[in-house]
Amino acid sequence: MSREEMDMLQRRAERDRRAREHAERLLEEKSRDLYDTNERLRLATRGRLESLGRVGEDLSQLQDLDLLMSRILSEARTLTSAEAGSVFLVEGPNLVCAYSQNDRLQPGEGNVLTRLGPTDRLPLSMQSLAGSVALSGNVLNVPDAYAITPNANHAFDRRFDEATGYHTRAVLAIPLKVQGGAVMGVLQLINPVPTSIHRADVFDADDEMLMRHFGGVASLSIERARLTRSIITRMIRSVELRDRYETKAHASRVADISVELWEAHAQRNNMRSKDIERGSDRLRIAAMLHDVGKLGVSDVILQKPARLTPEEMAKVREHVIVGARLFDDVVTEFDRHARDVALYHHARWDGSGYPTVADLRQLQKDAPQAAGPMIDPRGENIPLFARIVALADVYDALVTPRAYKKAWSVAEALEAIRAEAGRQFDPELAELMPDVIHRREARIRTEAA
Amino acid sequence: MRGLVFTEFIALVEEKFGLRMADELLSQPGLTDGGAYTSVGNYSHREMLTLVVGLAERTGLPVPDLCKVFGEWLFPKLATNFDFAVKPYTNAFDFLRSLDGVIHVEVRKLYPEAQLPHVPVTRVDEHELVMEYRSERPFADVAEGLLRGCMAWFGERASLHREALQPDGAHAARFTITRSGVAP
Repeated sequence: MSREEMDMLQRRAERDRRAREHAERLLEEKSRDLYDTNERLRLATRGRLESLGRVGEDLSQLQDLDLLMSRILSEARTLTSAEAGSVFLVEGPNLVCAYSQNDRLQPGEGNVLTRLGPTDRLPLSMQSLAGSVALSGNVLNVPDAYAITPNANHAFDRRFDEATGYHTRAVLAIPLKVQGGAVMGVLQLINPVPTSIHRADVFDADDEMLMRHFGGVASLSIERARLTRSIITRMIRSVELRDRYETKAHASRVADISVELWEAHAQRNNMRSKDIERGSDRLRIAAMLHDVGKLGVSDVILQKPARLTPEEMAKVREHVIVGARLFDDVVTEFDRHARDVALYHHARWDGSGYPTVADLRQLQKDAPQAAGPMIDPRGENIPLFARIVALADVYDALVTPRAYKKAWSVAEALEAIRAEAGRQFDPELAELMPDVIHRREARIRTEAA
Repeated sequence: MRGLVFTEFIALVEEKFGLRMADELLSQPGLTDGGAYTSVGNYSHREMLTLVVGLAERTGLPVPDLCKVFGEWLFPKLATNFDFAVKPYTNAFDFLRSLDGVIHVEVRKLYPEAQLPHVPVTRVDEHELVMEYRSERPFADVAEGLLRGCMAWFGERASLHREALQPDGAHAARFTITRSGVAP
């Protein structure tokens, strides 16, 4: 063997030795990494299961369907690190998009994608992934929506991507089923973003398992919220049939304004977002039912076209007592708020409203649960939600035309509220009203445009 | 780029051109640790370009041809090393269809830092499969060799047509594979 060949073989042996040493170092690092990863995944899995339990508890507390849908979507996206997602509900032969969120197209916490374009209503067919899941009742986990072959028994509807420029890749679609097993909707999650916990950019078997459980919890919550909404709608309709002025639209507007005023108040007091959300949920329903006690007032009085006599006024005032008595079997926090709002939404800050202390004493004798704790209804003794609804109720009554009066302008109504701050209304809440109303008016104008 | 690709390239050079050629290539400046590659390491793709261009200069063979030969050589080595990715499939088309959406996903789990090419199958039927190659690295020739190696691995005969999707044709290409039977 020549000297040159000897040198070459020596260089080769030297390279092999260094490569082996390097490999040993790398393997050692890799095994440490694997241990760390294993430990992190173990903790992450436990964390995700704990999250699932906590989310289930939270969702079961929510009564308002809109809020619930938005929370279901946000929580599902958080659990799977999904960049986007939608909740569809089955409505006749269609799937209607109830909520959609997309961090890329509309970044920001709790964003709601309002303009979905061509895919906000999909026919129940195999031509879309959500449609396929609704028809089959099975979970669908697609790593690449654009790689679905023509002979697959599901297809991807590209219209949303084409309209927005978004690129859908991985899709995990979960059926939402009622207790009988029928599909009532589909939860669709899109494009997981790799994180320290979720490293791949497709949904894996763990996501599937987690979302199957989550789908069960979400379905139950939706069913319960739908039931609550249908009960409330029926109660409001009953009032509507009796009182031509107290329409469902008025109840909805009062609920909207109340929630906006509550949120402004809560933010000013630096409340936690979760408490604000929970309060909004309770308040919306309680506000919608504020006049439910009118069921107990005679038609002759409610529909009288002329001015009411003092005796008739006294009868109308009784609606707050009747309303409170509808919730005299107080079992939940929701019942308590609904009772408070029904009972105290005509109480005045200066104590000159109704019910009076005498009315409350009588109520306490007749139905202690409906009366709640005995208070002198003035100032901060009046429950906060009732003070809020009082403002929203009066404002909406002022700006809405009635047979006996024209609609006031926004400025006139706000001036009347300002004048009554500290007398009829909580002065701190009254101070927040102009901002709340101006924001609301601007939003309504934008939506109309 | 995975070290396995480097060690296999050197193995190919040793087998086809001898130890001396491999030694010369690894003695070039600019290579990590003097060319002491290990299959479990990770190296810049620029070093692979240095090796391939160095081989072309020394042998007089065109770089694209060397890349294609290397790709064809590499496929069975990868299939053996990552047999979990190949075992579930009985034919090349099924394997290729799952490459982007399933196999690369698994590879990313193993090697989160891996920068894999995008290789979607855009059309497929029983006889023909159309696949794209898009990568930040200019290795469409290696991809072509890998596709040939893949057909051979599954014992299938096929013709392969390639068109460039970008002017240089090395970063993006479309391959049409037409089956013509079973390899003898």
